[in-house]
Amino acid sequence: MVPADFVFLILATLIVACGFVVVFHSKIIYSAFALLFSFFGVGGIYILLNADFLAGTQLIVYVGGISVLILFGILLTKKIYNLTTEETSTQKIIGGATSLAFLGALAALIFNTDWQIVTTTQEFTPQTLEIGKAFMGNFILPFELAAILLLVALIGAVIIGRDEKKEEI
Amino acid sequence: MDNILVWTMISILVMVGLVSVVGIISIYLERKVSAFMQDRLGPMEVGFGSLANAIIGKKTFKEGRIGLAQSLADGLKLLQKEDIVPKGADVFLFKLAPMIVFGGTFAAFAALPLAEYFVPADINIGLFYILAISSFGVTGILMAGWASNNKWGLLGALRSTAQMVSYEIPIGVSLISIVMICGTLSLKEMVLAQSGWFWNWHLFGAISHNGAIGIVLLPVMFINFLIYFTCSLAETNRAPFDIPEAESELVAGYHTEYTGMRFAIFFLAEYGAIFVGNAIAVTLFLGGWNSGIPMLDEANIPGIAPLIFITKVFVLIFVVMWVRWTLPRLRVDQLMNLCWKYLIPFTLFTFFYVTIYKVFLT
Amino acid sequence: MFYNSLEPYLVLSAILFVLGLLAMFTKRNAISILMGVELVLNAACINFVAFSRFVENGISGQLVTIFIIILAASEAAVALAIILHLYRHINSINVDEATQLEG
Repeated sequence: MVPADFVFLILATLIVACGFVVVFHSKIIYSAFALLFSFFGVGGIYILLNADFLAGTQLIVYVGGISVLILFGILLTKKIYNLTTEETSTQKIIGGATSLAFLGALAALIFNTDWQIVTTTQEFTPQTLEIGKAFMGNFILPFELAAILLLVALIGAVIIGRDEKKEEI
Repeated sequence: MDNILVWTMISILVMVGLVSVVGIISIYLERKVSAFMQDRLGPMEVGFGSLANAIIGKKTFKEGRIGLAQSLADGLKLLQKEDIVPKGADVFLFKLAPMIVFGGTFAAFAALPLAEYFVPADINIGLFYILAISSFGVTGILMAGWASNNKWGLLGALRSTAQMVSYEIPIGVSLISIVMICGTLSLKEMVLAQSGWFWNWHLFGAISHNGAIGIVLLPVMFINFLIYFTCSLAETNRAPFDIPEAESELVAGYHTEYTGMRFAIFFLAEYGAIFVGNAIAVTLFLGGWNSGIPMLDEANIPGIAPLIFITKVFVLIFVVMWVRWTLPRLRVDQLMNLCWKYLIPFTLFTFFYVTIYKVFLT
Repeated sequence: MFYNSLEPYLVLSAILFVLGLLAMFTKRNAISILMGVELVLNAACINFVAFSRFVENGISGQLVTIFIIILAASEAAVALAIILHLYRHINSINVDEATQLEG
């Protein structure tokens, strides 16, 4: 075991434990904060996989953006001063059984497939420049489409979220 | 190689020291600066000698003190205070929140370049890392506001989050201009590109990169710097953007319910965030550890580079305090107007300008 | 041993995926379901990056992951706008109570 293995185990434990809190905790606000730490752990996993730029993006977009959005959503749709905001879950048995079956199927797939592994020891190289070149080269069309998608989502979210009752006055 | 390793170890130790000292110095500075601006004297009684005497139980009053040990005495006082967790608060999140705010702020210290071989973590995406890790502060503040089970706390936290998330956009766009000029995200490389005379600093255009033609960037770089500075004020919830903790409206915002050491940790994290924000401004616009006079840099005086860096940062921190005690507070709608209708269009304009410069003039 | 072989990452991503799936199955709160979706997307991202590191030895997987992150961001924004709208209409964000087509 090298130190990086311990880092992997710690991050994996963090991600899975926080994932369990997201699914099984009865207070939704705990779920949201656990989701945040789960995102953080995934960012750490990206660093272990030599994807430095991606880890930064993960932190900025997920931890600084999506988590905050979700927390805002919770605080705006619940009776926010009531600390015991709990929620119920349904279909526990069917859902659990289906999920377990799915996990079994995935595990069987993972361990029975002969992965064509090219390399196990990869020297760390900064990836930002390569990613930028790829975005301005082969991937320029999806990149521009993503920009348009973001604009459309921004305007759409504003229009949907606008309070209609105020306009009638 | 070994040499670099040793320097890295030393710089890590220095950073840990800096982290603890920055808060103490800033608090003292704030009290003195505010006092002088209001024609008062500020803390005068507590020197190091009288603090020591107070600890062993002796009372002394001497002339000629300037209150140097005031922050230490404050810290001691806060340590002794009762640690109150309000009834009805969510205990786990209430205790976790200060740690997250503090951790998020001080993780950013790791990537600050104090000198060429004095970078605790020389990350190739240093700027990106600092922007990313600082976003932890937002969630910590939301956590504190919600867990306090207090209306003022929650309102303060919501305001603070909305403000910080909005002002991250002009910060990001204004910094992208510098990244475009330098062609790197590493803070160390950016400072190295600004060595030599002070007109090589990015504040004065891109002279160090493209020679005299770089002077055409001078106006946009000034605008960029002003926008970044304004946004970093808002990002750290400082006046005139201190709506999240507006005393006359919200008691103390998200840390209303915090007492004793937990409150002190929020306070330290706030000053740490101010330090990091201004350190980025110094690194990107004001030449980092370069003194601006080549002779002084080449003289190789030991320890002068970090000293220059920290001095520059504290000069900017002084400006931050100056602004706080001069300008009145903005309203929430004025704050959002400023961000979305003025700062973001201006940064987009400077961004466009720099793009055209980069494509056609280099 | 762990960090430089493919299977641990795949197992981690599978567990995360199934947790997200479970959240989508069992929760009736719209925001909880959204959280489940985010978990599933993250699991997929881990898979993409792991494959690009071990199988492709390039950056295509990372590019796909960046597009997934962009999609997730816009999806979260629009979804939360819809949830807020729903809350204003029926005063609840339980998806089982959103049974009317007309507003």
